[in-house]
Amino acid sequence: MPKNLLEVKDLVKIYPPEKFGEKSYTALQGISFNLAEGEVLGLLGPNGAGKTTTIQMLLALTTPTSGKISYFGKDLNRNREEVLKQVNFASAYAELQGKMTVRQNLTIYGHLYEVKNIKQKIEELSALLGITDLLDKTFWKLSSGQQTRAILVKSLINDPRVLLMDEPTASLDPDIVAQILDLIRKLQTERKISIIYTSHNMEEVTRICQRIIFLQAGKIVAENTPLGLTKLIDNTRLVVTFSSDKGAVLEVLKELEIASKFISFMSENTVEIGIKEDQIAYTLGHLSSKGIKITDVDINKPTLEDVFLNFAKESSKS
Amino acid sequence: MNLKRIYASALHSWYHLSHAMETWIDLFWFSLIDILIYGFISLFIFKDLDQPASFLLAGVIIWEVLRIGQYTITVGMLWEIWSKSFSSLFITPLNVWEFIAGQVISGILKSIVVAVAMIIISAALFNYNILELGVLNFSIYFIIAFIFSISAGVLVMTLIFRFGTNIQSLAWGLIFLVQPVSAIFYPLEVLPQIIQPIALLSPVTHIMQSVRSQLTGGNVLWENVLIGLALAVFYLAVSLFVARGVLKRSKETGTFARMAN
Repeated sequence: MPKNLLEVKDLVKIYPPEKFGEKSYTALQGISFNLAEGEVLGLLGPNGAGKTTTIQMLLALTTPTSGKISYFGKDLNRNREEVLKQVNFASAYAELQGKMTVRQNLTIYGHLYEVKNIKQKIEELSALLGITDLLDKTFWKLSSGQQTRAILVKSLINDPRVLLMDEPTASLDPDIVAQILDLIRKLQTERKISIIYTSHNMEEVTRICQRIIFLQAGKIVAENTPLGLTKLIDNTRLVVTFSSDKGAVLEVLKELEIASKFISFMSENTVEIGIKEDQIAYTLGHLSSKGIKITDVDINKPTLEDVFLNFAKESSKS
Repeated sequence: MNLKRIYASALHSWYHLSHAMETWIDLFWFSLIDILIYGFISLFIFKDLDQPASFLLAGVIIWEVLRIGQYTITVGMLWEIWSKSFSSLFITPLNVWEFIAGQVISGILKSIVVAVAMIIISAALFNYNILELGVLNFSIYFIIAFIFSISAGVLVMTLIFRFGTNIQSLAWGLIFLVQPVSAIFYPLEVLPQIIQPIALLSPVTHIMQSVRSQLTGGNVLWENVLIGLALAVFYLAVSLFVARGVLKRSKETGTFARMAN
């Protein structure tokens, strides 16, 4: 069983009022989770769920109100320097110094992390992420995709054991996103880096993460694999196209003992049925046995996006 | 405090300077323009003196040491906030004190370069060499002014940690509150009686009194020098103490993390 590199226990964050008359704000209500060696863990949730606060506390930028964060068995608060040497962070919102060249930036970070043979490290990582020809360009003059690659090189300069990634692909074109995701997967496989990944792009999260934590109003409301999470919600859509009479189809569907609460005719010959996966075969069989002529079938399984929207809807209700 | 990270912070400042025309203008351009303006004004107003430029130019040179030290610390940090690279820096093992230490090294080097350039200009154009005060004496004045500049820089940085970048213009403006009450270009006695006790709280007032004593043929006023040094060290200690508390608080309120965005 892989060992945990990060352990978060009962983490609470209550932001104290900054001005007279303001109220304190509870961002996290006692969350606990672990990150295993080599694992990619997704951290998802709607705005205000507590993702950013969690990341900030995992990087020691913000102090928890209570609870404990331990990396490699060591308390972050007491061993900040030692721990942060083995951790890094990549985000579209945490850039490099814009006035300096990429090489100068990377050299500085190499020194800050006390990297041995900084020049060689920069060359090696730049080749890996395809930015060798950009090293002597000023950071702010690079395109968004090039900047993201440079930030990724920075995030790997200390050979981190744990890498936090907060929307690293935000505002990038889809083709660049695909390249970046391939690179991240490659890095994770080859270097066995443990990654915490946040993104608003659910497809990206599904591709990258092995396990996902859903945060809502400062609490963990679900924790599972991407597939496991999609099974939590009951909205597989069965779309049936038929050549029979619409009224007859409706009558047959009403006879069915399925948990469906959703039947909608998309046209005179197409109906969409909300259904559990294990009832699909039975439903199709029943329709056929009652003489309904089925000409086409589509099964739309719930995606992580549906799960996200479901939780977000619940969050807005509460 | 880790020497390698302090070196990295100083190197960061140097790399940045090599690309930032704004910093060159803020530091070197304004200093050189000041020495020229004050030099010509002196030639006009004090034309009957043996060394007409000495009083004002000595003040300008000491003042610029103070301004550059404070500017380097505060604006050095602001550049990281403006570039959105603040969080990238402080999620490394680097801490704020190491960052400041690196900026202090950078500030000392910048102040020395600017002071040397001003000394050369004032000697060449206005026939005044501040080193006639004695290289050691000038170095002592320089050190006291620089220590005071660190406390001013740390104070402005602390205010930014507390109130965010809304008050960032203090990085340029706050130090000028000290200027009129520090008797830099005129003797302490020129100030209104009610202001004089306030002026005595500034280390610069004390070292400028000693400078003027030397310029009028007197000796170094060691008592003033010691008071100036004690005040500068005291303000540095207080500013670091306050900064420590405010920094801790800013990590609790989230202001520190928000500065990255």
